Amino acid sequence: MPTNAVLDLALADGLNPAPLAAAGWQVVCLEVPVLTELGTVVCDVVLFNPDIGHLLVVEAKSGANIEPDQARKLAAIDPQVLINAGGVTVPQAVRPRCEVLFACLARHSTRITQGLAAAGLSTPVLAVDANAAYLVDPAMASADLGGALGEASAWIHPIARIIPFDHESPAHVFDGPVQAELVAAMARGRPSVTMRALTEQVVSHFALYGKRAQGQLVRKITEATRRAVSKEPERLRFQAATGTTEARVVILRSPEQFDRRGRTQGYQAVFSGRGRRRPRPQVPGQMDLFIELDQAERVTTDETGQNDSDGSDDVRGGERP
Amino acid sequence: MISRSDLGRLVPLDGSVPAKTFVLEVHTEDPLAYLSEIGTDNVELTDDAYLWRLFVPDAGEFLVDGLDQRFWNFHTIMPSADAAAWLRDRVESRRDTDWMWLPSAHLRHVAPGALSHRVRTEFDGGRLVSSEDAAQDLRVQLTGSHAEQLLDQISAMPQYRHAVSFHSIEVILDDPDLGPLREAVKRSGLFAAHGEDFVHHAQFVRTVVGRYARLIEAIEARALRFTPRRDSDAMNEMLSPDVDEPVGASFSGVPIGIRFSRQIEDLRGFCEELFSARAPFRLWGRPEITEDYVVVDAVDLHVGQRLGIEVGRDWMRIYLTAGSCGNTVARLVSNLQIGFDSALTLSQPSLQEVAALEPIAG
Repeated sequence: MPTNAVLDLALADGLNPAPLAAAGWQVVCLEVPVLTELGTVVCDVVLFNPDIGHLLVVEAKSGANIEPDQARKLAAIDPQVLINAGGVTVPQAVRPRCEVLFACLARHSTRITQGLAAAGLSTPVLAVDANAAYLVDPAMASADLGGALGEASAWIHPIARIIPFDHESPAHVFDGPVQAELVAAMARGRPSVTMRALTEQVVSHFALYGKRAQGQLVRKITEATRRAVSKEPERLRFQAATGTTEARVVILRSPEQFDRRGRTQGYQAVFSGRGRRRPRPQVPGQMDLFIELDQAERVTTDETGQNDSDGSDDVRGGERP
Repeated sequence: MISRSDLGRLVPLDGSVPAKTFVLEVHTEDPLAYLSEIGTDNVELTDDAYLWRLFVPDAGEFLVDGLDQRFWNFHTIMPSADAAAWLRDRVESRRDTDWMWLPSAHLRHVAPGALSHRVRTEFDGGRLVSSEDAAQDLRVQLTGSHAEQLLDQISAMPQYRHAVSFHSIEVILDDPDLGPLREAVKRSGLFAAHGEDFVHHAQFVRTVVGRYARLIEAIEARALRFTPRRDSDAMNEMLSPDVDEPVGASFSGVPIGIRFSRQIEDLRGFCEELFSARAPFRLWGRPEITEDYVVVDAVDLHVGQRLGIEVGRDWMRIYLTAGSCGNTVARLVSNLQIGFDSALTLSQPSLQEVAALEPIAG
């Protein structure tokens, strides 16, 4: 939640308030490793405000504890190194500066704040819950950051799910996305998909992760694929890796093989848990009687040969069924 | 061989039948191969590298103009029904071809300053709107000068403003240099024209397509994109067994928000219908539904692409990923305008600006 909350505050989609975007910050990169005098540290989210040259480095914490060494490294980041590491474009001649912000769940904010104080750091903390995001102590933030986040930002809508899952997410979270990607593969008429390719399609932010996390994601996607195959054994088959081929899912049968009506019913049946989707019940008395009138009128017009061929009537010919 | 200057002769605007132009969105790297495939080799080159003749046996021909490499014009004087049926079969069977999906406002303001002669709205809320609603199904066709003004009056009534969705419009243009022209436009990108000068018609089509293309590009510019920070050599190094450090990724994009002017009363029923794989939405999904909030990993079956969607009582959020087609969102918006709320707005002001064209002042 903390990462998505920070992203939502910085992405002006017009639904939730975006005070960081309103103040000029833009999300520039994620999961960027940066070399400091104390060693390398990975920045979860980096935002840049080009008007004032302000780099905001966000450390997103799901848990209640900080890692003091990591926190000190973050505090030691040289803005010029970060600009190069993140490939940040500086459009105006302003002196870059850097500020660290810890974002955490509101219920852990006291522990996080205490942990930072114990490490000798005066880093601002953004607390996030389902209702709002707010600085725990605005006085800890720079004037620019405090100006943007000085008041709590109440969520009007659920927080945007820019990063809907990661390598540490529970297994069941991957079932829906994997099933959808397999249906997309059916629609594209693909005969099979390797687990690596499927993972990169399901996890659009795959590029963020290191090799170990990527491996975890491939494993979780593979497990979700096996569960999907077990639900649809007539349509899908899992093919384990061999010495020469990668593990893949083979599409045995796709609704694309049917005609138009059969295709719709075929898709409705995929992963539905039932053989065939029931049609929506028709309420008695809702039969469209006007259709009968229209059909009768069309026949009458054809018989008398009165084909209206002016511009707008001609447009009717392109109607999709 | 013919050239572009022959279009006026082959697709006469002053003939006994109107000239038609269908605009299709086409994704191809090899236009000739694409045309040969859809036209089963009944394709003839012309002197123009972007103009082809495509013959439909026993029906006629299309003059296909691919000068805009994404939005192609299929000009013809074939009967509309024959031409539309032939194209519909191609569109529905391919992942690289789609209609245009003009938002209602693009039709409403199709030719600022021109006299609108006939308008038709179609709102068909039968699947997404409650039967107790004031307007479950509203169709209006009016012929007369400034015909859109009646619809503006209906739109001003709160109980009907969601149900005035422009389906077709006919305008009369009279340009001192290009001459008179009567143009009818349908929301799927079908133009029917009668006048004197094909060039006038072609320029009119180009204007409408240009506005639509700007909307599509604006949508695609918002697709979520994570780009690795290192080049391929560094990536290979990263993928070696000893290295386990993220490479970092630059990020761009923003979800696309839709605000409805009305509440979705039955969220479950709405989403079951929306993600039922049925036309016109052709979205597949298994929605996770809570009281006021729905999350779904949907699939646009027309192009075979996955997209995340969230739905609330009066809003929707769409996550388009890099490489996805903006037409997916345009199709969803256009069909929601026809089937649920013609008064919906895109929540980002800059995107709403290109979706809801306002008349040009003066």
